[in-house]
Amino acid sequence: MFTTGVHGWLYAAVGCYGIAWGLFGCHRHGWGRIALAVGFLLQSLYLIGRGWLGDVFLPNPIMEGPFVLPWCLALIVLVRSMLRPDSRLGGLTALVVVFSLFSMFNTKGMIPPTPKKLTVWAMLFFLSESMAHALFYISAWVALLCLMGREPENRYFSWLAWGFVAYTVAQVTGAIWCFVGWGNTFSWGARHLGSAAIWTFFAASLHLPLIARWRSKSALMAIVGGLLVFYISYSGYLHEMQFSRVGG
Amino acid sequence: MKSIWTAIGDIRVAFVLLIAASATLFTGALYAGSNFSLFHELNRHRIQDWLPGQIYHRGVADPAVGGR
Repeated sequence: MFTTGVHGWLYAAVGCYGIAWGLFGCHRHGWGRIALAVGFLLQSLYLIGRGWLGDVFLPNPIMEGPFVLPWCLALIVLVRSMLRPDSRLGGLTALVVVFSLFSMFNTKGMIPPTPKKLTVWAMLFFLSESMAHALFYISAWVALLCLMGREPENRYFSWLAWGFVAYTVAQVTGAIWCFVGWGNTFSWGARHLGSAAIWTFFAASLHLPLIARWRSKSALMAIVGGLLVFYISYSGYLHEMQFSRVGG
Repeated sequence: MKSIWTAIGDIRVAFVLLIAASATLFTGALYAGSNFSLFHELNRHRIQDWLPGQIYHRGVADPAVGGR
């Protein structure tokens, strides 16, 4: 494909996200939405191009966390900008830019997938997990704004709840993938334990607004949860940068 | 009996237990990253079989711990 291995498409997408951030900051919502949509289109083409890094199309390199996470964030912000054109999107677009910058500096080749990764369950797992991470980061950002008094109280909570739903879907699809590939639904390793730590943490966070005396700490929990997701996932991504890769 | 049932059914207990589970799992994730073979053994053994073996082997490896 014409975008395979041509990183200019990714850099142009990040540039468009940066422009969209600036335009949303200047309250030019219409132009900001157009810049965001163009960036999203360019990044989508780049991601599809990654599928041919091994000369044969494989969805695995498309679904790599550092690349698909900013795409998920951009999709959420784009849908939000269409459904609620007057909502403040500067901060959310900043998240897209920040996570896109990491994908710019990440190793571009693909990790050759083992036969165990060539199942639709693996793809569903990676996509739902990245979507959940995106929702958790947005929840943490909105919670920070709530604590600063710049957003109404509990505005972050629906992001948190949808993130938890997506993360639960990821855990189920991941368990099915694990069973298909390894014969167990759970494995004692850093990846599974980290995922379980995140799931239980957010399950606890969802209980907090139901406790009258502790309700005020709920926004703080959402921020800590976002940091927990960032630490666990990005320490994994940095580790994966040392793996041998093909193409890119 | 009713007060015990009310106490363990309190949503605060659920919250504390979930946070404790999360902290334990997170600590496990940190250790599993640097002790792959130790944790990988758990995929082949039950915890009640794995744990005594670890305690015994650690005792043998380090007499100061009190191994035989």
